[in-house]
Amino acid sequence: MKYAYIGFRSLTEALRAREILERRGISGRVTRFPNGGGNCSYALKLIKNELETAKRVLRAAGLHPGKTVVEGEGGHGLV
Amino acid sequence: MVWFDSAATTLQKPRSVARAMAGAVDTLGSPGRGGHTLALRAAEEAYECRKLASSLFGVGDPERVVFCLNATHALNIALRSCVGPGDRVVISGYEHNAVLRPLAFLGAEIAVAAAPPFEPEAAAEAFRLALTEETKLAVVNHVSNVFGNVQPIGEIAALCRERGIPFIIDASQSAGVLPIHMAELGAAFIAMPGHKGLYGPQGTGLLLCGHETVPLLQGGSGSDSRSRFMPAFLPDRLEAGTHNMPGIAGLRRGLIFVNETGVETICRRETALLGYAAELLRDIPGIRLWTSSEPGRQTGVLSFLREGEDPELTAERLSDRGFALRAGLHCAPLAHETAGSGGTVRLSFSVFNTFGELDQLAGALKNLS
Repeated sequence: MKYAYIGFRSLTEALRAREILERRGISGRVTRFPNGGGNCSYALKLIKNELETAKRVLRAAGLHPGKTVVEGEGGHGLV
Repeated sequence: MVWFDSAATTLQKPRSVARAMAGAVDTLGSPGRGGHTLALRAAEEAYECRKLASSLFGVGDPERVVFCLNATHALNIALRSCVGPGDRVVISGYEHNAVLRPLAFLGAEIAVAAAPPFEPEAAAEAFRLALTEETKLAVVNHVSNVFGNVQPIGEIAALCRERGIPFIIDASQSAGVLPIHMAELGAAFIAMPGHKGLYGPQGTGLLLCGHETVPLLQGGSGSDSRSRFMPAFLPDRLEAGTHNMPGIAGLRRGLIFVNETGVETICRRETALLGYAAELLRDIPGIRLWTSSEPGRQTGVLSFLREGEDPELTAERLSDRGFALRAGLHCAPLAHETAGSGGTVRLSFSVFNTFGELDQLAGALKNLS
């Protein structure tokens, strides 16, 4: 199973995103954003297939989903 | 010691508060500092606390609930965010030094909308007259920490909204005791301690934000770390440095207690205690009381004086007899100027006080020679 990471501007927003998605039946785990030690930020890790739905739900709720990383065959890749 | 000093801090807390604090000391990491289990557990704890406060005070968004050290810290951030040198700021006649001193430091031009205590119509009218076109901000103490008079924040909020003037509410004595709904009021900021009517520990406070903010402290936030400046988003923008996680865990249990007990139940209880205290003290010769018999005009604070006795001496003698009451100006000299007092003895309640304790206090006061 492949995973995707949605970055958020703050840890609080990532926790809020997780809660909103849980109400829509999408499970996620709050974790650090895997951007090579880039900028100390947090992400929601979820199943790749649910990424687009999750982003739509979050934008509709007024949140700010940021960069997305998807697990690829050769490691992580920004999308 | 019988505690009648809850306007300074509530001494009795729900048992869950101390338990949560003790648990936090060795089970919680630091939110925003790492992605390991204990850092994330701390973040969850902080988030649940923000959510509860957001729900209790009608904020609508947990990110706009900022953790502070106390109400003074929260007010300093709020005032710094709204006021520059020479700005006209209208304040009520019952503001604490936590408002007056930051305003003086910021170089504000302070206009006092003064009205006698327990006359909310006069207080609203004083604001109506003082809120001129030049006014940049209004600040209202919801409940005076000296006299317990409830200020008409709904009416003052409406006046400010009509004129497009941001306003700050100091909810130090009212949070957890009177209903407060940030979104309905449209306040720029509401500041409150965690350790009074919210039954959290000392070292906690909350700032509810509805306005652009200017940080008081700069430092690590666990986010946007490459920037030399504080993040633009809340709550990180205003929360530099490590959080007080034992305090936040305790505050969360205090908020749960308030939520489960119900603000209306707490208010009824404190109002009943206040009414009973006023009745008892009124019957003692030589006692001057500041109180109102009109419903809804006073909450759990009652100031009094024994004729011919320095209030500090009265409080000292009561302390010797096992009663904790505060005397003096209560860090609010403006309130005394407004009400024409030179200092008082202050009796203040929490939901844990009993009518029997008031009987004991009245007995002690009668026996003071």
